Amino acid sequence: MAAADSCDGISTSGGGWEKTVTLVSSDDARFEVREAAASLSQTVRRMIRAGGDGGIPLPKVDARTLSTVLEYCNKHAAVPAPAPESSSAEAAAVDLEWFDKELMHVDLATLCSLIRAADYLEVAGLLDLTCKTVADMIKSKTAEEIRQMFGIQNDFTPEEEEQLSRENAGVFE
Amino acid sequence: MQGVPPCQPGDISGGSQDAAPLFELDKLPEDILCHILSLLPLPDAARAACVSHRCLRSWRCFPNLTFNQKTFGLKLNEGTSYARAKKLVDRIDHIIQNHSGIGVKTLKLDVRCCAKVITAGHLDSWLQATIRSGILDISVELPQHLMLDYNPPCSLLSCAGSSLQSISLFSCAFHPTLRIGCLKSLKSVCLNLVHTTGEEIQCLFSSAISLEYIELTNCNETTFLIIPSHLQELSTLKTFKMPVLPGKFLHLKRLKIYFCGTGYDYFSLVFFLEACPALETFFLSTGEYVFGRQDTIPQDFNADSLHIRRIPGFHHASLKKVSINQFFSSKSLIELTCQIVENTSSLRYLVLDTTSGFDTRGTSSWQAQSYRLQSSL
Repeated sequence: MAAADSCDGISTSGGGWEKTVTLVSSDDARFEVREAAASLSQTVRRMIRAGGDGGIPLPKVDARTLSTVLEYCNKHAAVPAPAPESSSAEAAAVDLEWFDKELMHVDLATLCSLIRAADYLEVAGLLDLTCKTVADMIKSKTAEEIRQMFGIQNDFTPEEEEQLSRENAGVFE
Repeated sequence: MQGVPPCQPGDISGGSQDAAPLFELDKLPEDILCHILSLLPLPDAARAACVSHRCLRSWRCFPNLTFNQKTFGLKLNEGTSYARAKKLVDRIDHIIQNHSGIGVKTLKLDVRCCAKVITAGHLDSWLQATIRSGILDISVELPQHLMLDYNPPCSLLSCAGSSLQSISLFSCAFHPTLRIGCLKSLKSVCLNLVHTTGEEIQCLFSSAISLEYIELTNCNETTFLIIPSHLQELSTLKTFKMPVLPGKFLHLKRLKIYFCGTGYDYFSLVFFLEACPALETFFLSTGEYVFGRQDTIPQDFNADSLHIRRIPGFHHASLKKVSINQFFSSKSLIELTCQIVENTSSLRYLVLDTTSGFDTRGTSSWQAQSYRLQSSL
């Protein structure tokens, strides 16, 4: 994709022109995105308003993560708002749900990057989606299983651990 | 799109080339960790708290405190009822004692099964520990008929003040005063078997400008209910045999009234309709079928001999849809229906549903049972 200034246009399938912006990842990859999609990120939205040439720098997100974030934004910004309760609205919701589910088929390291990126870029929907994915992984697991899954060090002293198990494990047998 | 260069230090990196599959749940910012835990049911969040110090800190701010027998997986056939009640109370006590009290959004306390174990002391300490500014929903259900003297401290509601969206009480007392303060976010009030008076409810309503839903059941001390006219958002009112004195609702467009019990004079609802000149949709559920349908008029009745009451001068020019659920042949209900049909120039749909169905929004049943009124009406 050719480099572009922060405010360009691309031809849409309908033949009209849609405003685009260029986002630059920490590793200098450039992404030309529809402004409507990029604006799902509150961080980017503020930077668009602030103006500037040569693309919007996002020094905390690498290209690989950013491309996934943008995949999410493009999909979610593309959804038109048909009349509620209509069958097409229902179909669109099912389609989005399916898309979200597929997007979350990633390894743990990628999931972690996506959470941090969604937090930094302030993409609320993606932050919720990723957090929910992690929560579902934690569900029904013991503390030790959670530690192993996420590679977390047990930083409790044996005394603390004993007290905790009395406090919590005793409560939920 | 350009090729993807190797990750640099400090990146939020996909980090696929490194062998360590570290998710670093534990190193995520505090608010994200709290958010992840908040998406878990309470028992799962409690287990996750034992993972590390940071997880434990998040657990101490766990926002959704929902306590009932199911939360703790207590089995109904295990041990004596006293032992189960004791277990439940002890566990709730334990969790609340160890909670920071910060960040609670929901407190749902269902201790209906804890008769003989739960005390006012427990309840006071639990409510004081968890109800702060920022809480959205409070629900307290006590053992039926056994703690009708217990009055949740209303100073706590003042604390919850502007954030509180719903309050639901079962089997207790409730004595709000005007000092309760501003409840500007309160949308739903649900009182069942609660000792409270009409005046006290007036105090509760005094600042509740967002109120949408009112349900009062089995509140025998409430001899009247005044709905002040500043409750412009009100859309649903469920009551049980209670005279309702409406103010004037100039903007109310949709109204649902549910009755529970028998022998109500439905004709008096005409005054409610008069008080709502902008009303477009009126839904009434008589609730009669719960107690067995009682048709009071013989099938071969003669309308002229019934002395149908009418309110002269009543006229409604906005009402378009009227739906009466669990319709039956009570004189007062027929009088209400006649009054509406004869004096509502705007009426387009009238549904008289004689089944016991509760479908209040299903479009299919609406279409199936409604008929278009003749223009001569």
